[in-house]
Amino acid sequence: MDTQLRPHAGLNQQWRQPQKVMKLARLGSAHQCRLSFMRTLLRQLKKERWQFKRSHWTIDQQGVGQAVYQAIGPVRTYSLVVFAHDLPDEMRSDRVIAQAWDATFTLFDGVPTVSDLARLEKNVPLQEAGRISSSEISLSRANRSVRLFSYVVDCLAGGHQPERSELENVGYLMRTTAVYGAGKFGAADRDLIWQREELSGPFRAEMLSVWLTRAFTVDLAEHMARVRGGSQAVLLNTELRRCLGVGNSTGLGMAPFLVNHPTLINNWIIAREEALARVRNICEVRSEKTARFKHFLDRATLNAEKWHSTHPLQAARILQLRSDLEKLKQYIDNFDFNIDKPLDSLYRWSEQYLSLEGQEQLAMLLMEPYPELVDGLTDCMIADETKLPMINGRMSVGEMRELLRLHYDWALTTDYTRDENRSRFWYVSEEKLEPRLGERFDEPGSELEQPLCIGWHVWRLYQALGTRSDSETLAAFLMQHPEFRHVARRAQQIESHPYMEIRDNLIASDMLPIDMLRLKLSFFGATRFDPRSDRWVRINMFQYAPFPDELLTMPDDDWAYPPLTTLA
Amino acid sequence: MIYSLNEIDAHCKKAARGAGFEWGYAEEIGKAARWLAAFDLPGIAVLAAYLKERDEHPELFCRPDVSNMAHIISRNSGSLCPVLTGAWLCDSAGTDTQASMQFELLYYPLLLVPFLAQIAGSIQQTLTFEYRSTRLQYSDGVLNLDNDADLGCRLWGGYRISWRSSRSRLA
Repeated sequence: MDTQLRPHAGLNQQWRQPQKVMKLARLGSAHQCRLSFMRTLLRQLKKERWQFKRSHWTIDQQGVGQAVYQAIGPVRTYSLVVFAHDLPDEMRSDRVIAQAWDATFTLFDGVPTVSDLARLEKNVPLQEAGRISSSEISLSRANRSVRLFSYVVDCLAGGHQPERSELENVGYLMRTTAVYGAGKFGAADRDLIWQREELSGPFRAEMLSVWLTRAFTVDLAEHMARVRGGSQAVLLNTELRRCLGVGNSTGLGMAPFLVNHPTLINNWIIAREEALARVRNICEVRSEKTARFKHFLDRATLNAEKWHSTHPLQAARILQLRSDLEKLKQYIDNFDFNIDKPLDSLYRWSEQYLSLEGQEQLAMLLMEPYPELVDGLTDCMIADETKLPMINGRMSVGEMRELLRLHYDWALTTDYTRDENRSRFWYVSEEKLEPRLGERFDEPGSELEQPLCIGWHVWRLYQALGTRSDSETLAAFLMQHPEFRHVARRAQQIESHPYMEIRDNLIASDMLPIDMLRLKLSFFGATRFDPRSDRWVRINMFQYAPFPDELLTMPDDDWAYPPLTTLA
Repeated sequence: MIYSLNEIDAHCKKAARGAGFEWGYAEEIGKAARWLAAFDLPGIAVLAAYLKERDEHPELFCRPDVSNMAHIISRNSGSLCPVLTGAWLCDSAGTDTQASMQFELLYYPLLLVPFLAQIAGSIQQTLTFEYRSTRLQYSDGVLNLDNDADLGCRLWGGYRISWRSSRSRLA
């Protein structure tokens, strides 16, 4: 066959190439950046001068009751509706199979009436077992970090402030264990809201819900301190308060999202790679930008010092990151920023001398001084996924084989006849309808495998195409082999979506699901990744961010790394 | 209970998979059910009847013989399956899409509509689909329905499909 190689229609040669970017090891070293969704949300709320108020509070002396937090924008109002519960310690579980939580939440579209609250009270505390409606945009729950929550309440009730180091070590008073959106359990479909400017970005509503949840966690602690300490009790100092984010505990449930939303993932990565290419291409870096970069490098260094994990892999990576940042700082001390394209030179140096953690951290730091080049790219991070792409059945079998050879060499060169290359299988648990990872050769159930092992499916498609005539149409082939429809449709997208595939074997015996989780969570803006196994991870969200009552008076988007003043 | 479109998509995809469809078809069935529900058409009820009957009598639901794209007939003596036919038409959309097409007997014609609508979008034409007393027109995301009495019918023959330029929007 003599089909001519086609260039990658959607690929800009100045971006880091997909075969480098889309490997799990690098994706699993991802860091938040200016494009992360938490930062995008707060930039927008500040720019549009949103107002916030706690409009309803019936929490009693046991910490049980309701609260409503309104976010009032120029066009619409959204309300976080909170149900606080009295949860016995033995029922507190972060696992998705839990049935009760310290607090449950929904983000309501508008301002809820008394009858809305009555309806929600019957459903939101049940989470997956309840039903919400198209008036609700998200559904979530959170559990207390019991030790820190008690410590903070004790301190405030006694009339004194908690220690900063205690707050920073844990980092949150509550951690969410699931934040559902996009039509789950009857909630509003994304189609209903994505054209609203304030919610058009990915996960914007979920991030708003988490940010308001953070305000509630502190309000609840202060409330309990007042109950306990009466007039002696004090409020949490606003600078200390910012040391608290919202924790999150995430397991395998998030991993299939990355495979099932190829267009969206492609668009996220392209926005990030375009941002990086823009800053690397800057010919002359002005001195104030250099100073800004060095300032953020110091703060990233502080962040790495404060980042702890007991997971052996992550603990080693954090040590490596600290050493990388030290090496980078020394290199920069003697680095001449007056050369042509200095940031490009710096990045190239990192590829030679730093670990993947260090390289990715530097890449994200390079964007910090350049909001004018980076921030607008957030508008490119959405995708309409309500329609399936059509299969081009007029493509010939020969052309399809060529396309696979060109873009899926990473899959075609894997030997899937070997057990270790397909030793796992993804499935959905019957009890909680949650994604799980099974051992193909030790556990039953692989006949119910989910089609997440794209590499293996592509490999099998390629083998099957090899037995057919090059001139046959793909439509005719698929009529006889419908088992390849999904993967043929997918593969045809890759020319225009070069970053849509994780270019690794997602069912290999040594695959680390936490690498997949970190990719998505870093786009959210999460920090302090702390894997608790190879399958679930704890993170922090919105740590050091302004609270609703101070958003308008705090500097723009200056919170994603810890402030240097905490060195004192 | 009121379901979100996302739930309808996910549940119908799962139902199709459970009924033995390959993943690609199951995805298409989920999206088809979602599309019909978005227009308040009884797609879920028709899909449920279709999946049940196909499960009991798979031999009745035939794939199309497409040697003549203007007149689509079944490959065997049975009648056309709406999903296999719709998917084939989508796969072949473009240069092969005829200005007007006729069909032999086809089961559950409502399930064919989302596939035809997707073609209408891709070739930027207005779709007219007529069977029994039902007449559907679809263009640029707008659906006009003349009579919905026979919308959910099980089996019918002598369908007429026509396409015309979308430049004049539907009234």
